Amino acid sequence: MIPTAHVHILAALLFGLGILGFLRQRNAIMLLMSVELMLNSANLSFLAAAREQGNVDGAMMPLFVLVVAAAEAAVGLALIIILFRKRVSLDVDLLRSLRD
Amino acid sequence: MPGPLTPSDWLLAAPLLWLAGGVVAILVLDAFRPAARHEAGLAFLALLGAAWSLWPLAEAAGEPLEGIPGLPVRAFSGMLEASPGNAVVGLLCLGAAALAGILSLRSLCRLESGRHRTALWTLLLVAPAGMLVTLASSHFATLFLGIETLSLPLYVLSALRRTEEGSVEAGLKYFLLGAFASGFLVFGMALLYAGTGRMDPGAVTAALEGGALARAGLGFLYAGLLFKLAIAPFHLWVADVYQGAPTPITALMAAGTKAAAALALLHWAPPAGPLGSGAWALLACATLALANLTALNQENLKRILALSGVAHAGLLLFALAALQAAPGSGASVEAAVNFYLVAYGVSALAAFGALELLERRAGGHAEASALRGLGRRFPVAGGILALAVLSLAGIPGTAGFLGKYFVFAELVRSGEVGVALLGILLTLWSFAYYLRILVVLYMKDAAPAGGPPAVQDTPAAVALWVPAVLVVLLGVWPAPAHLL
Amino acid sequence: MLAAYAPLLAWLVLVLVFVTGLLWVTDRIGRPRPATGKADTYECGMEPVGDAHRRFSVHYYLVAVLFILFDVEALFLILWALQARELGTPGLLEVGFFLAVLAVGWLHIWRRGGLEWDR
Repeated sequence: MIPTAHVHILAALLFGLGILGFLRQRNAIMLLMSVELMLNSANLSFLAAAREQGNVDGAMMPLFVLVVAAAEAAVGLALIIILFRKRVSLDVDLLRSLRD
Repeated sequence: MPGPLTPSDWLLAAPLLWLAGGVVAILVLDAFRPAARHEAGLAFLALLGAAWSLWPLAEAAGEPLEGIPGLPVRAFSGMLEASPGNAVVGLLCLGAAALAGILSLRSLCRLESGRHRTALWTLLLVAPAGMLVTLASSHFATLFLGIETLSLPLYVLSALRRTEEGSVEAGLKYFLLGAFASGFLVFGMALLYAGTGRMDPGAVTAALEGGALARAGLGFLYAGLLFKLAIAPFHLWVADVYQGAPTPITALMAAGTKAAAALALLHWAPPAGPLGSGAWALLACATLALANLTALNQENLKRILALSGVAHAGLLLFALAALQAAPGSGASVEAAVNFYLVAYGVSALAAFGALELLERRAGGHAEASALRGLGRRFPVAGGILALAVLSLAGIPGTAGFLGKYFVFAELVRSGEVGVALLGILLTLWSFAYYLRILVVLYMKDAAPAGGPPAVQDTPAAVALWVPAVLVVLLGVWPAPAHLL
Repeated sequence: MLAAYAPLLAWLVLVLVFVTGLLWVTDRIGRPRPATGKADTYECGMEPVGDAHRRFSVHYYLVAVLFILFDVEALFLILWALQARELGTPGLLEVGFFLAVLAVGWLHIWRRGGLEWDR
């Protein structure tokens, strides 16, 4: 059996990759994908921990996370489409009309 | 396997069922009679029903907790937990949604000839449902679902004026940063669960005694929660989002989201432990100082009020610091926080509501230059905004003053007199920008009327009196509320 | 501890050997017969016309987004289906209620024209 610690390390690496992607990318869709990566790395950790603990609490969370991630993707893609129609660009660095 | 629902399950589920039922009814109505004008009526009915079913719990506020068996109410195998004081904050969230709805009747509702009406009314019901779940959450699942259920509708509502660049930008910024924060929240939960094997607030206690994994999880969890509460250094989104979102929605975010996130943080706060009160006090002072510093240089009144909200959230952390310093003070700290949230909530509702009416007279602009002198031309809306600003500043005689007083009293009682003095000084500093709003409102050379003449909006003008009266009432006669 | 990963390593090696082997064998025994059809993007089916940056109808994205939402709800159905007999009638009623709520959302999308992607 694969040790739980290894799964947590993989999850942490994926989570770090997600953060890095979010901070380095400028395309709104790439930011959305980075967030999805972060959420799914948490799912991995939940499942590994649930297997180790032997209770189903941790196995239940990924279901909710997946549903919320789908809803987030739907809302996010809708917002991105509106932005694209207005700007014909998805570069988030151009989002600077709100300032003082 | 869980058994049938108990009475306390129903007590906490009933408001949510009213709201969800309202959403379903509106969707069905819109599917078959798209032109029907009853959607607003259904939405207000659902909000009223939710408030009515929450009332029995809220009514118990003020009575000693020991007198009522089974308080705080625990429901759904301990996944939700609420005290009467929390229920009063829940009523505030429902009221905020109702006020946002009334303010939208003549504006957002008519956007693009009413195309987004259904979206507006359903989302105005979903957001308070998420707030109610969040403020009563005592399990990772309810905390996460509650926060997402309140956030997702607000992302969409912020971008509702989709033809305006600022609104879309606010929605997208709020969405991207909010989703990023959700990632931290969930990963923190996963690590806490991996480290402690628990998913209830007991996981926090266990984590403080546990290993590095759980402690790291705690850090991620608080980063996610502090983002929602807009505490420095996670406060940078607030000014942009509040400015870009339609003002009725901003009012809902200021009063509702803040209250729900603050109560969630209180539920999930660590008991006195190695973290100590210093960390919370430091965060509070940093947030107050940064918010004050930024607010002084703003031209847009919505941005100033947004940063005032950041400062108020920072002040709440002083209550957490008091809890850390004096472990036995849980009940009285919670009462102080509940009152503070209600006081800030009604002040923010009055401020943003009045600002929305003035903004319409100024052609949709909230810059100081566009609003100058409008307090003279429109005495009622201007007067309510001025009153709300006085309450936000914390002038004696208003709800805002007593809210601050109770928090600082808790801090002094816990022995942190130095921190309390520092906090009071930082609060006095904030008077500078509140004063500026008043000066702008009552300036001699009034701005020329901009844009087309605004529609007469009687419902909004009438509804605005409710938070305004509450600001005064809670300031001079806090008896019903300060025992929360 | 690392022994747990042995099947993964074996699979990796097998994949590499198989793929490189196959490529090597075709390279050695095959005879190249160039033809215009082979250079096409698809050897059969869709006719590639224009460049890849053609614009899609926005409705396509709408349908894609709606698909994600309803797709994920199937997760809950699978969980119920695995335990359907044990959960009995109450479980059936509950999952029926869940589907009814979903159906309201679907009904709303349908009536508002969200599914008409050829407009």
